[in-house]
Amino acid sequence: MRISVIQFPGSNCDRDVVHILRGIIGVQTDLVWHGRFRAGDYDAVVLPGGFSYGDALRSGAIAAYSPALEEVARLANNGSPVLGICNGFQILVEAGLLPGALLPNDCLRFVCKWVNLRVETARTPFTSGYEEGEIVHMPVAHHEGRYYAERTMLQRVSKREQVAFRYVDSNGVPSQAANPNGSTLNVAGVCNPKGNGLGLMPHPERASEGILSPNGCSDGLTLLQSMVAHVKETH
Amino acid sequence: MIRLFIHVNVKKGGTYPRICKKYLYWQQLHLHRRREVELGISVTDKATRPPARYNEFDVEVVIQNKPVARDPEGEIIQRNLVNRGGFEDVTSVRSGKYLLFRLKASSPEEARDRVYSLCNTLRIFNPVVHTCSIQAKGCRN
Repeated sequence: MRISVIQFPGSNCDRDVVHILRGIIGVQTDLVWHGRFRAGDYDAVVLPGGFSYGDALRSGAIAAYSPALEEVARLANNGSPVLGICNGFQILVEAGLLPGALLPNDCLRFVCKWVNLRVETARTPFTSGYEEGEIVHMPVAHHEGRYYAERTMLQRVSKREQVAFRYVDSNGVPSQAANPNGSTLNVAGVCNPKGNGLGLMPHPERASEGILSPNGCSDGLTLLQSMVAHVKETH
Repeated sequence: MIRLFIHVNVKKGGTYPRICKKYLYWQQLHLHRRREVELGISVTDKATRPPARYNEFDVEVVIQNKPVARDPEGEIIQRNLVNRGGFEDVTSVRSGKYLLFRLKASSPEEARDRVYSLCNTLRIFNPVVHTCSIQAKGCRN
């Protein structure tokens, strides 16, 4: 069983993800340059955060044209887990593998802080380790994270239970104050109709070791562990 | 295919420079066709091939959010700069991205169509959330 973390020019969370998968969870993980990625070699793939191609044109717009994304689409069609974190989410959205779009934050500033998230569905390979409605703690760090989808698309996404995470306050209410970027309906992460492709703006890899969390939690580790467990089951 | 072509010419007694020139032409064509497959567009098609006589045109592309998507930058410029600066009759400001393409074409219409095709093929704007207006400016020559 092998997992790949794809490295684009400008990725900067790639080694963090590799550290968690390889060092903490203990699964064979390769850091692969985007031009060399081949879907057939891997059972799951992670598109890490960062600023691919310097965010030129739009965040993720140039990386979405990398040949690696054709391979990623092939992997997703085969039912293998595909996880996009932050810039990885932006790339998946730009490549059309996930619905909607990501716009500059409402406040027009780079937002870097810990947020509360509510798990909306536990029926994906990434959220099976959580309880539905559970509140988890992860950090966000982005400038273009305002999730947007037109009403009809949003209705379709909600109906198919494709919203995986929402920004909420400490009581679990998706309030405006708890929304760090002005995302429509406080959406923080969405998955594809099959559920095997997930994109989210918060960084689970930065919330995977208690020593690095302000309250000692490691909620992000559950997400990555769930993905690895799913791959082991299906392998 | 290329090897076969050279072989036939050599047998017919073609001179080296002729073979070389034709070989280069076929090599170029082969590269163009590979590029077509990569981009999913036709660059060797007669209709889209740059004409023999052409001029340079500037084509402006303006990308902005659809009216239904909020534009916080435009709102802040309107509220905190324009209206506060005494221009209270301004009711809306929308911000966007401006790109200027310079390309060779036989007419402004052709230049505009080429850029329109480029914007759609390469997803220069995101159709989920953006509108894109394209305008060809005058000939540069």
